[in-house]
Amino acid sequence: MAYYVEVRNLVKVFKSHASRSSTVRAVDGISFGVREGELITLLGPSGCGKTTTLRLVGGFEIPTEGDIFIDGVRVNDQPPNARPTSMVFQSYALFPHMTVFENIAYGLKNKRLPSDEIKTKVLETLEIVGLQELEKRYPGQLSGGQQQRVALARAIVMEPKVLLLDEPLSNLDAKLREQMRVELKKLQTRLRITSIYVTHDQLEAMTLSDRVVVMKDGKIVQIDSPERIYRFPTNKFVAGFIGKANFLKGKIGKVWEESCELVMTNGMKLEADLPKGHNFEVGEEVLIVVRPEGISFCESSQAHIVGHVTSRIYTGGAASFEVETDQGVMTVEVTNPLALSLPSIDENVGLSFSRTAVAVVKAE
Amino acid sequence: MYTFKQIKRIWNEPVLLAMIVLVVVLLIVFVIYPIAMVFFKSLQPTGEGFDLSVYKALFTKKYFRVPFFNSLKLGVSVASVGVLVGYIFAYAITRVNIPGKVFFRTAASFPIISPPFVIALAAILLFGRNGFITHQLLKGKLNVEIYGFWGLLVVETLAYFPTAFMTLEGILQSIDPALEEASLSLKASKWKTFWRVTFPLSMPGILASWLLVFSQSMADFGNPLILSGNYHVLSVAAYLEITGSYRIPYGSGLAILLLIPTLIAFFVQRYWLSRKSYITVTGKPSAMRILEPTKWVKAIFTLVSAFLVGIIFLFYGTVFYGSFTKLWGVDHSLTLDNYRYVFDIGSEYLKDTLFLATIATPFSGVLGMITAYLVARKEFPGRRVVEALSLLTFAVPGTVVGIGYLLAFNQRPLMLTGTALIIILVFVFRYLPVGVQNGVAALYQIDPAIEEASLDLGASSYRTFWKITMPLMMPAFFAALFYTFVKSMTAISAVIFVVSGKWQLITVAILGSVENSDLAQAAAFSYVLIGFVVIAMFLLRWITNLFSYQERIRRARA
Repeated sequence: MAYYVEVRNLVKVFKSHASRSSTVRAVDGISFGVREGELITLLGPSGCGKTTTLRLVGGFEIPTEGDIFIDGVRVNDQPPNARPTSMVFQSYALFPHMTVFENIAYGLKNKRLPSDEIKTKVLETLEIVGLQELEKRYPGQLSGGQQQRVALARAIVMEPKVLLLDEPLSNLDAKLREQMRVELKKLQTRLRITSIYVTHDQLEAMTLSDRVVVMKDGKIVQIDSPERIYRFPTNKFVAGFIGKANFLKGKIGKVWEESCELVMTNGMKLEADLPKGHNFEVGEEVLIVVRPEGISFCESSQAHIVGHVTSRIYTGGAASFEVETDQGVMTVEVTNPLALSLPSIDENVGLSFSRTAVAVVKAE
Repeated sequence: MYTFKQIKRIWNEPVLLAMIVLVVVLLIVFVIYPIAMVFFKSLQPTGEGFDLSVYKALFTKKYFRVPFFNSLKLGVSVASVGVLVGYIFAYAITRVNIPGKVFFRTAASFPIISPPFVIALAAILLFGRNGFITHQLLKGKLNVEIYGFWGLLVVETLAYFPTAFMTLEGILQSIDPALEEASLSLKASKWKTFWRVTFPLSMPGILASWLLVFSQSMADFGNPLILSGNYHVLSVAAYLEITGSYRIPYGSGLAILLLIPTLIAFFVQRYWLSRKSYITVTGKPSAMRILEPTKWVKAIFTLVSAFLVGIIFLFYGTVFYGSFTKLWGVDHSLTLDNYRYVFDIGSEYLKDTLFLATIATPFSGVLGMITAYLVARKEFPGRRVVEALSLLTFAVPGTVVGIGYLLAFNQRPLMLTGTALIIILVFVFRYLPVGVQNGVAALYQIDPAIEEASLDLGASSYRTFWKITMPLMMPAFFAALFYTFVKSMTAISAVIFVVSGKWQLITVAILGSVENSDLAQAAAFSYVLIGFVVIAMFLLRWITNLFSYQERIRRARA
């Protein structure tokens, strides 16, 4: 299937601020595609080049090398106002001197639509984002969450071929962010606008995306659905960045098409699933990734590893433990903690790993 | 490859390209070209061929050498005293919490917006041969020589310390009081805290304001013209060389000598010092918590500030009083004759000045905003150069600009001598830097994403400028208009070279009155001018309230 948005070998070099002669490759030869109606997330730590990539697609930066196609058209040389993209800015960038209505109508006026059509569209969009009755307010009179909706409305009213979102929720407080995340998800399910969403919050990426592009140092590390990214990270960075992870050293004992047997340093064996087409070999040194929520306490005789509890933190819906083992400290998370009898500090415990919580990455 | 792509983009925006070309051409013709002409003329003592004989004469003949060193000596003295006074005043207001801060701050801004020689005029009225203090009060017992170095030092210090005060106030405000508190909690005394923490942190500001005041004193023309006596300074010497002796090459040479130190001061201040600053001004003054000083410290700072402001009031009050007297020093009975004269015989001056300033103001403001926008927001080759050029007239003394315009525009194809246009052009380009600087400052406070959002929503960069950027720049724009208007109304140093019989300015009339020893008349002219400035100030406030979006939002809230 052909991609609706396609980025090929994109490179963006900036002059370094530190010294004039040196340069920074903010985006270092990346390629990916977005299918029509799909929402993909560019996820990565700050400075990984995700925002630059988004700005390149939006036309705010000129690529040093590479091409950008939207709906089959190469848009490299189009300025932002000629591109079929709309951006939701991290700072919202609402025009402070215009009312909510004027802000949303601005782009439609630029398209020279008749004013009654503009009015209908703006009011429709206000309803979509749940801001009826506020159209006469100025941005300065709105709460953060309301400003964020205006910014979104202003972008989607343009019916862009591609919606670009630059960390749109990062300026909201935690509660509101969660609420907006759910609303965005519903909105996306309903409108199916092709979207590229930039965030450093893995929870946002997991909730909203059809696929996630994990970036690091200007390069793409992995592109996959949220489930697969979590289940089959391709390296230690992805495993650690998305979700929490314990890392244990180990070796591949046996290998099959979609699974393998791992041998831990203490001689214990366990089975793990692998993605199709993996390239692990028998005898290879690997890192075993164990998700904290997939570890349970058990008798030492049935345990994959043993240790003693050094800390215990109760957070209401869950409890988290640190267990010191001969492989280092491991984190264990127990949900519904009140239903179980849990070990106390300094208690010796055995840990057992559930198969779905184990992944394998190459040793680095 | 990169710049090629940039250029290609600019080609796609013809309006933007046209604006860039327009600004560049205007700057070359009306900023660079006149100054270059001054330089060329100084190398052409006989009118043809180039040699350095003018400069040889300037450095060997005592007659020429003296003004150079006099100017330097005066500049260094005024800068040092002015910065000291400004620092004490700024410290009193930001750190000592003296009572009546708003009042003191307002009083300190008088000299900035008043005509340049009101203070000199006051000095003559008070300390001159027929001066109120020297003649009436002391009956000539104490011989005060107001004409010369000491008189100029006092007058220029009063005139230019506000510049230092405003720079230093900003710097002191941006030093987090927590640093001083930290020093105190580490058991340093307040005295030690000042010298080890506050003072070193304000050092970049001190140097910057020193250089600013130095340049202002070097470039000052109005005060020395009426007050220098036998103490010759460069600006006046250049003026007399050209208008008195008609020796244009020598006048030009003196102008270049004047230009060099001020240019150096400007570039050191702007490109070197600004990078040394420890403080990044965020534009958002944090809530100031001031450690309450002891009663004594507070009393001393209050007294010093009151004394300073007292002198300002004494000077301005004297001129005000003088404008109602029959003949200063002889007959102090009150009369309205001087004002009658101003509005009757002098009405031509008033009309011309108002007309020229009113035409120049909007052009300067709009050009300033356009330039600021290009410089702060657009990437194009030579952007930095355009910025430097647009700010250059800040650094160029009015005398140099005036001579430049005189030389540059008295021949085809730009034959402008004697026209209103040449005066307007002087106003427009001389006060352009303030517009540019205000505009750039305003733009840096506007999140660039706001303009990107506009482009993203399909507006061209031209439409973005008018619909988004310009409305947001309005406060800066009006401030620039006000400044240009006030400065045009009170200008003397540059325009004195290009005024003609047809177009007369109030400031020139004031000078004429002073030269005729009709000080009361000069005082009346000065106060009429101050009246215009005050009216302009209220008008500005009214218009700003009418058009600024902040005001609209405030009304929407109510």
